[in-house]
Amino acid sequence: MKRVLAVALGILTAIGGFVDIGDIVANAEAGARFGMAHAWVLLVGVIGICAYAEMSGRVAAISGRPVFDLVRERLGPRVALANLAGSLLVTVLTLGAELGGVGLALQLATSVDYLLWVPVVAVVLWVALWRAKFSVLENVFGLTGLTLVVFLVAIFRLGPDTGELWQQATHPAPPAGEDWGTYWFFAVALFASAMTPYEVFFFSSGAVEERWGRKDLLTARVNVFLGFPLGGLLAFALMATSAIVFHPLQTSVDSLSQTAMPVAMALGRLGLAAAILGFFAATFGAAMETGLSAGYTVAQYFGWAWGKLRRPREAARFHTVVMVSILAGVGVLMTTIDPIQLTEYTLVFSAVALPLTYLPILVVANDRDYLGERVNGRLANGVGVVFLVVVVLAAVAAIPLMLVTRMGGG
Amino acid sequence: MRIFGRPVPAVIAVVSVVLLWAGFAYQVSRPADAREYLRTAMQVAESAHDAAVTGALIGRRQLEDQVFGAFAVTAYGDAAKGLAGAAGKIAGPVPPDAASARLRDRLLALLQAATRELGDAAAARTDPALRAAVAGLDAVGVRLAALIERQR
Repeated sequence: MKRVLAVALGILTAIGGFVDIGDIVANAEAGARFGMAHAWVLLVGVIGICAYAEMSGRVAAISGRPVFDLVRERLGPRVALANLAGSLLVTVLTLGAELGGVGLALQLATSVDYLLWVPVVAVVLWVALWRAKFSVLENVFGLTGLTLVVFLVAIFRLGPDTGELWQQATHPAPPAGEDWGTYWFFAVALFASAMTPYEVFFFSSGAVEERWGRKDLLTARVNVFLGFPLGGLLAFALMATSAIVFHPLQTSVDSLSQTAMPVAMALGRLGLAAAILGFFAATFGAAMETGLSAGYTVAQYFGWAWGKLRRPREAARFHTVVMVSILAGVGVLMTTIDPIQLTEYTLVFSAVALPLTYLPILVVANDRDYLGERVNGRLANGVGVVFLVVVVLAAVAAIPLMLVTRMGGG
Repeated sequence: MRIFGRPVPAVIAVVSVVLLWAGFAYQVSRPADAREYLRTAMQVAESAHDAAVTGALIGRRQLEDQVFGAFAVTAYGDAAKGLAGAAGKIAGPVPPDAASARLRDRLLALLQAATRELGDAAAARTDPALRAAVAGLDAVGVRLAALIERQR
């Protein structure tokens, strides 16, 4: 019974934890401008993150070591350094975007400018990561993030023309007034939002912290293959509500207040409050994960003691990196860059850095020295290679598309 | 083989980066031609249209009591920020010809109207005042949509 509860809790946490500021922004923007024409990208992204999260979870459970640690050992310090540089930059920028997202959510609830909230949020985040119990934080924010389910309910309450939505989803093409360049720019951003690198580092390092072993493989797989797709369903709901309300009005979405508007229309004040709570929990939970991921990657590369479960005194350098990353994230926001714009840039850079994260995972997941008979099978390798090609294509296309479309402006 | 005491690949890499940067600098700093001006103007019109439509949506939600005060204040603020950004974009570049100047004038008038109606909606203390501002935003939205459609 206890095990079933643990699995259920893991799935629920994975659902709530899947959505972050990148998913919120990218899906709402894509839905408003292109209707459901990007629904397939969401599906592809969810399959990709499931494939690679399963690999990294398996690597951690069998070898007892996190992916980044093995990448350095298996591919050498030079390749691992490239991996570290790319991933760390993207993770710290994502952390900044998440902190901005928390600030924006609090601004929606209080009308106090988000920049005034950012330092407060940063201190609370640091204290939480320093003092609070890992499992409590993960469960509280993962479960609270589930309030985003109001977006799913809103789809039905808004009474959409389902035939039209289905038509858009099954005939993916830019609508009148948009071009293919912008369409593909949004496709790359959406793909990157589903496959953010920090997710796999956090997943594998968390597995080591919680001392997963062979017996936990099933739990890990259930979490990944149920939790992430259901989390993807929340992202789908964000896209759909935007497509229902804003696409017919030919209006873009570029703020969190607009993203929440369809829920207010469908469910009134209570629904709106739940949506804002969901934004807060999703972004704060992701800020925790990105903050820890920054510490994990650096500490694992340099071979320092690391872990949220270790006392700060025992892993001083790990905790220092976490703290410096939070300060760096705050510093980025204090330039007064719009957090939504920061998120868009982060998604583009994330797309560029994707191969640096996923190629090493695929290599390590095929190494018998670490995994024995638990190396990738044909299916995992087939899916892994296909997605690696997609990831490389997205990485190559991201910057040119950003320049040509003026950051999706058309 | 070495050039200036450096290996050839390193020199090629440095020259490529310099050329790329010079090209980028030229692209960003050269004056806009009529086509580029029109592209910027359309982006501005679309941003203003988004702000007007969003403002009207917020107003309607307020009239139906579906949002709370803090949310409405923030949402109006977001829409106003969008308008201000749009105005900044069109105020910068010099119109390259008379047609572009006429387009700018029409656009600026609509931006001004949208800003005024959005401000009125945010400041409205009574339902009739809010209704009037929402109607105004609807009207500006329609005019902006027509302008965008004409230029496509």
